[in-house]
Amino acid sequence: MAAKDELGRHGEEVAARYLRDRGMRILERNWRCAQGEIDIIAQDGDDLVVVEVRTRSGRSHGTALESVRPGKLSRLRALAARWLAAQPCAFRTVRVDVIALERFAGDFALRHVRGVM
Amino acid sequence: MAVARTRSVALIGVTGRIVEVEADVGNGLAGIHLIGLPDTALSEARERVRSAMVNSRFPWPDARITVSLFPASLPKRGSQFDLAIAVAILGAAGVVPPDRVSTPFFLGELGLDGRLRPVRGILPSVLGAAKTCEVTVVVPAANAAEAALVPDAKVIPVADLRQLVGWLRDGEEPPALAESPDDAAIPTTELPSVDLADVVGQPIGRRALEVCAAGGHNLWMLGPPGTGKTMLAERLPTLLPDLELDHALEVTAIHSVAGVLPPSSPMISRPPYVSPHHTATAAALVGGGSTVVRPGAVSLAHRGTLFLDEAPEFPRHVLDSLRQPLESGQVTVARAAGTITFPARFLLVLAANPCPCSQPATPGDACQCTPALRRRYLAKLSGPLLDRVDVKVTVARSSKAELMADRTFVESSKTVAERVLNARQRAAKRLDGTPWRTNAEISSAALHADYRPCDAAMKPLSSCLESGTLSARGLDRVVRVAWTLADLADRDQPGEEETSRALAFWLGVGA
Repeated sequence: MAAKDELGRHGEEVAARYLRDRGMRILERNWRCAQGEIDIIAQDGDDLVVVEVRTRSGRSHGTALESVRPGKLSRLRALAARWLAAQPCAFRTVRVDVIALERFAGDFALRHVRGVM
Repeated sequence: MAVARTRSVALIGVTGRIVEVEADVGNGLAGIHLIGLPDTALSEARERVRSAMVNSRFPWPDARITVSLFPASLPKRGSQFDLAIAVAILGAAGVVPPDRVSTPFFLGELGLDGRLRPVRGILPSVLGAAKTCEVTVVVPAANAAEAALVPDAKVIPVADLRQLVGWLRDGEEPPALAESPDDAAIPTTELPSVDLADVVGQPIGRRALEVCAAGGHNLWMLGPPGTGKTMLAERLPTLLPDLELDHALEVTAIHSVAGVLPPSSPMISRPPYVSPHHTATAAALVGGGSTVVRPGAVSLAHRGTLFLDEAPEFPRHVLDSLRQPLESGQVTVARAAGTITFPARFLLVLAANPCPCSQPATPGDACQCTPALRRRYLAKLSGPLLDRVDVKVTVARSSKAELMADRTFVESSKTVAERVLNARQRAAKRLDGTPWRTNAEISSAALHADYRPCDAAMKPLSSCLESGTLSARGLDRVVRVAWTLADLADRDQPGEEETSRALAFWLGVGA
């Protein structure tokens, strides 16, 4: 596995743990279909949360948070609909969150932006 | 997280409107949003401001930044808001104290490296900011001399973003403005190197030029080619006195908006002289443009001379577009971008050949144009336009004796300019307390109420009024010229001689 993929994998692990600590239930990880991939699908109370995880080893190529563009968010929203279509259960709302992780001195700085869409 | 507020100025024509710039650094997806009717150049401020801040080694907030420009309904265009946007973001991000940035005005375009670039229209912007009270204005160093022309503004010239942040953080003054050795005097623009002494003969043309310079009247010169019409017109600016400070600021503001101000001498202290080619369009003459409305030739000639050489060669509708500014002293241009009024109080000089062929080199040679062609040629100058021309003269070829005469005795511009200045001072003294300074500006109402010549003086005009040769507007114009003739002759009131001469000028039968 390439170093960058390993970093991303590790970031998703950290993000999932963080969400579980916040009381969310992880429903699925790295769900794929022909249109794309959702990093984490979680349940927060009655809400369905689609989480995009971005991990960066530094800021030399911009911050992790700003690397998420509006186009990506609308794609995620469409993917959520596809995932939901195959599910028996219903949710009150669907939310898209972003978790940005940046590596600082061997540790990760985490920012969680809720409801970007 | 945080909000910071600062101020800048938007230009509507040549007037500055105060614009508040607010920046909010808050939660959400990282990015910058600019709201408040920005145009393309202003929308691109996002990229310029970001690069300028990052390259000046200031932290770019990794958060959702919203920048709003108030009043939201006023369309804003151009790059002069860059600096205010950057300062507002720096304030909201806590790099500089927000209370330090709330009162000064910030104007200027940012380079990607954080350098401050000059923008056009600084003078009217600073004038707009200083309208309310004493203000502090931060401008690009290259525009500092222009901004410093405004009396009640404290100007902080800044070369780049780091220097500005240093000033905002610690109050350390940026290097002061390079003071000119004598900063009380208005820096003068270079005088043209032509002189009235270059013109041989033409006593009527010279006299007409002097009268027009003294009273600010419009002039029409008709004559065959090579008789010196263009030479005379080009020498009109040498007869006009320097602009007074308020007029100089008006003229400089217009030239600043048009972007034609020489950076070395920012103040235009001499009356401008504009001579558009006869292929000019109506928009070039009166002002226009689809997105940014620019002043046209009539506004660039504000408080100066607009010379239309070969006037019948101009398209008729272009000439007729001059009628409204000639009467009101301003021009209103309506475009999708908005309706904008520019000042346009100019002295119009028209020159025309009698016909297209203009062949008669000797008095014996007949013109080869048909009468119909001749009539059509001069008919380009419509009646309503010529009705607004106070002085009409025919310029004839100089005789051999005049051409061969000793030219050392020809009157120079300096001599005539002195007479013009005396006459203008006389008029200004009489008009003290009114908004006008020259006879040509006096309104019709005031002309008949306060400046009506005595009945004896009005006598020569009555027969022309009865026969209909003289319109109501024509009457006003004749009376104005009569006042100028009285000023030139050092008389307190125009008498019969002045009014009949003024009438002769108006009718175009010579003086």
